[in-house]
Amino acid sequence: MKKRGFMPFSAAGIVIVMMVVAMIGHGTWLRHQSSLATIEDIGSAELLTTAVSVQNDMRAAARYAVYRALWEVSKEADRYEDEATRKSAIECLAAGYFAELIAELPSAYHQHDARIELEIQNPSAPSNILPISDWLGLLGTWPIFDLEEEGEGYVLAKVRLPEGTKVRASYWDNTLVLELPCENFDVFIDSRYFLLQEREDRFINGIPRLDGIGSTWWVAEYAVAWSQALCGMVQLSERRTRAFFELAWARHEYDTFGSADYLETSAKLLGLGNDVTSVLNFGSSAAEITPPISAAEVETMTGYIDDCIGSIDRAESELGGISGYIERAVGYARENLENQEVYSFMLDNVRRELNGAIESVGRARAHTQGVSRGFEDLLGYLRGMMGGNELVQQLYRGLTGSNGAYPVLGQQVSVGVAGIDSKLVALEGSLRTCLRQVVDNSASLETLLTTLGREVDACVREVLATSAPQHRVEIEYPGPKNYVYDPGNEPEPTSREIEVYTVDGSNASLGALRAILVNAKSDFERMQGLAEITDEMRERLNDVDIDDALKQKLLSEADFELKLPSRESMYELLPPPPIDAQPGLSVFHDFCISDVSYKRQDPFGWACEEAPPTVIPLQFIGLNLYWAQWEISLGVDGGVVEEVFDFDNPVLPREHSLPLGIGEQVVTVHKPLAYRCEMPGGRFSFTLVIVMPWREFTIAGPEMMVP
Amino acid sequence: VEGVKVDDRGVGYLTDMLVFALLISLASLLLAEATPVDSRTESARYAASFAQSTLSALQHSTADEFGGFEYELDVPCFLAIGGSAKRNLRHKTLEQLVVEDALCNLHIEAGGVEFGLGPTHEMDGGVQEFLRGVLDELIAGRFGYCLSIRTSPVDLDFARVHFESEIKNFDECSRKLCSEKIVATLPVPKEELARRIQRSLGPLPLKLEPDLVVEITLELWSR
Repeated sequence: MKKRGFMPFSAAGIVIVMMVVAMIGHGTWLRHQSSLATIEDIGSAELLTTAVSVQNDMRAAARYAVYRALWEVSKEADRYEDEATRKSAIECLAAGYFAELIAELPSAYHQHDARIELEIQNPSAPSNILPISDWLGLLGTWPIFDLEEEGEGYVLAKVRLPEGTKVRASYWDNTLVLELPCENFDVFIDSRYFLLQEREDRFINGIPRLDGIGSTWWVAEYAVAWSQALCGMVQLSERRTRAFFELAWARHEYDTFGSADYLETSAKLLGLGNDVTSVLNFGSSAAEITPPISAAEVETMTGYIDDCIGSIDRAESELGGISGYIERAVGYARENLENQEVYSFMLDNVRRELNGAIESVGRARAHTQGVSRGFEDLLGYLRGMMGGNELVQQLYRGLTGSNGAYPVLGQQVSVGVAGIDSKLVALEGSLRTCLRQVVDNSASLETLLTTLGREVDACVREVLATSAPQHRVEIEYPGPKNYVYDPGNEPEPTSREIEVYTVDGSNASLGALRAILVNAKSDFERMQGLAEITDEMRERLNDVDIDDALKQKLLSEADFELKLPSRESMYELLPPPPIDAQPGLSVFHDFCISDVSYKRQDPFGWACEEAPPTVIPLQFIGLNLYWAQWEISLGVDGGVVEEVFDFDNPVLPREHSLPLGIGEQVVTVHKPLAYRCEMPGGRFSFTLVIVMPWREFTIAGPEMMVP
Repeated sequence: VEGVKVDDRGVGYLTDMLVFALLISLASLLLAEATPVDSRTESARYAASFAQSTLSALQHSTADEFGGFEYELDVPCFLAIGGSAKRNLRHKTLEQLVVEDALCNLHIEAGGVEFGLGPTHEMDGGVQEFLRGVLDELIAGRFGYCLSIRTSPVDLDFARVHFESEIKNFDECSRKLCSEKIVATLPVPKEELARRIQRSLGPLPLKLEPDLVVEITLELWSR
């Protein structure tokens, strides 16, 4: 049998090869398609990247527009009425600058890449910056910028572009067109405009308090003047006052901004010829001032006087009731003279009333002695305090010592108490005698009691009498008639009348004793008022000291002198590092103290600046106070500049002129945002009061600087 | 060979088998060469996508995210107190740094000499160094790269004003995979830029028409 195959092997091989070739051809075609798709993918992704980069560039344009607007408004921050007006101005300016920038973008992009188109509605945007009022008319049709505070005082600009604004990117053959809307976007601005504004406002609002109680200037002047008074001579100094004011300004800056214009302050302190260290360490003068007596201690003393007056009140009350006993006794006698049955009862009643009167006089005597005891307690209290305290020693001497001209308080009290006591002893004797006669029944009872009643009335009236001063003693004081500030009338040294109530026991009365003690109490109260001032001053002197960080900075920069044509311009470029790291602000100031004046306000000083302090006699407690008072006034020229820089964020690309040989080089550098306020000048003044209760001091005329 | 007669058909079969074997071998070879995927296209696609992501990162990432950027103004040391010459630009995006570098450091070339260096020239070197660090971190593990930043030069007869900067890290013998570009603009109006250039060059008889666009091109190269 002849057998044949289906087809020859070679034919089968050819078929297989043809099939493989066909498969490969198809695979290649597929790969080509895939490559085309890949290229298209890459192309569209590239198109998207480009469109997004344009979108991003618009954000950048908005950011730079806000930078520029912030700079221009902040540099003249004082021109705007309030925060809202300032913010509106920034928003309007930013919209204008943004319009100016993006007006050029479509052509710039198109020139570089014809695929990119930036479609902005209202293409007739003005190319120049318009006045704010004109921009208001464009609102709604052109970019709207809305600034908001982001955390830590940064700015978030919310930008609203006209509806329909978009970035269009297309393929060369327009087979793919991408349109990205670009109507609303937010831009973070890395400058702390809101922080600068808030701190600057806080600083300006605090300026009027520079001459207030507790300010550095006030405290420093007080500390030095009081320590000088303790040393025996007070002399105010214009140089020192200027230095202290500069220091107060720097301190206020430091408290507000965490930094100060320490370069300027230390240069001025040096320029004033002061020893910077001693100026800064005025606090040590404050530490030397120890108030000689506190208000609380004077209050305790007043309390003892009150006790004495209380004893007088009680004695008066007892004595006021004695007549009642006698009257009731007379009444019993009258009613029962005819009725012998009840005579013995009547005698008992009369005896009881007389005994009551005797006991009441005894209590009145005890209360009168209480005045003495109270006064002794006061003296005991003073003895306990005396130690090395000169004032207490003098006060003790004033109360107990001997005064050739008139009896001191202690003498008047002891003589008065003794005189009253002797009168009361006599009264008690009369009552006892009468009582004995009643028991003996040796006289007509009614007559006896009536006579006794008259005697008692006379005696009680005498003891209770609110007598006028027994006499007045003329004492020469080198003081004026009154202490009310009246520069129109120059005071003349005059004498003072001291009222003396009790010279001897014969004219002693509770009324006189009360008058003496009430006068003494009013002197103590006066003293307490002054002690309260001293206490408060001491407290504030302790509270206020120049912060160590500021002090160190001022001392370390004391030998640094920056001589530049424009300090402010140099600060813009190279702001000095802040003293405190937080909040990281740098400070510039420029002000000029035009004049300093001192006006004596205590009566002696009206006539002459060098007059000794005015004496305030507290005659009832035997003490003199020495009082000097000045109005210290300082004028600051107009055009005060206070500028604060966002030191931590030097991010604004700005032009700056640098001196170069004889010309200048204008360069673009990163600057921190500056917030500048220019303020009118003004006068600062406060009243310096020195009251030395125990020590006289002299006053030299103020040391003025030669113009 | 006597007694053995070779059959003609046997020779035919043998030849047929041989041809068949040859054709199968050829088909196998063709199949072996053919791959469904083009690796070059794929790597180009990956590189392009990578480059676009990197450019996007440059536009949106701040310097702070890469450790912060600061430079020091070049001013006489007696003027600079403490750190007053320091410029910390931590909040700026990388693209902003590039654009501001271009704005602050426009080069003026005249007669082959470059002049007009301002106090910010340290920023130029600083930004380059900083970007090199960023790109090394983002790209260098996978690709070589070349980032070039340039503005269109303002060509005058006697001088040329431009900004050009290049940061690269690749082997010369390696293959370029892709080149991606984004554009940004200098943040000043054209007239203002012209005024600045004129101020640096002195009075010019002609009106300058500078180009605001800054081209940022990123090329990726194979490793």
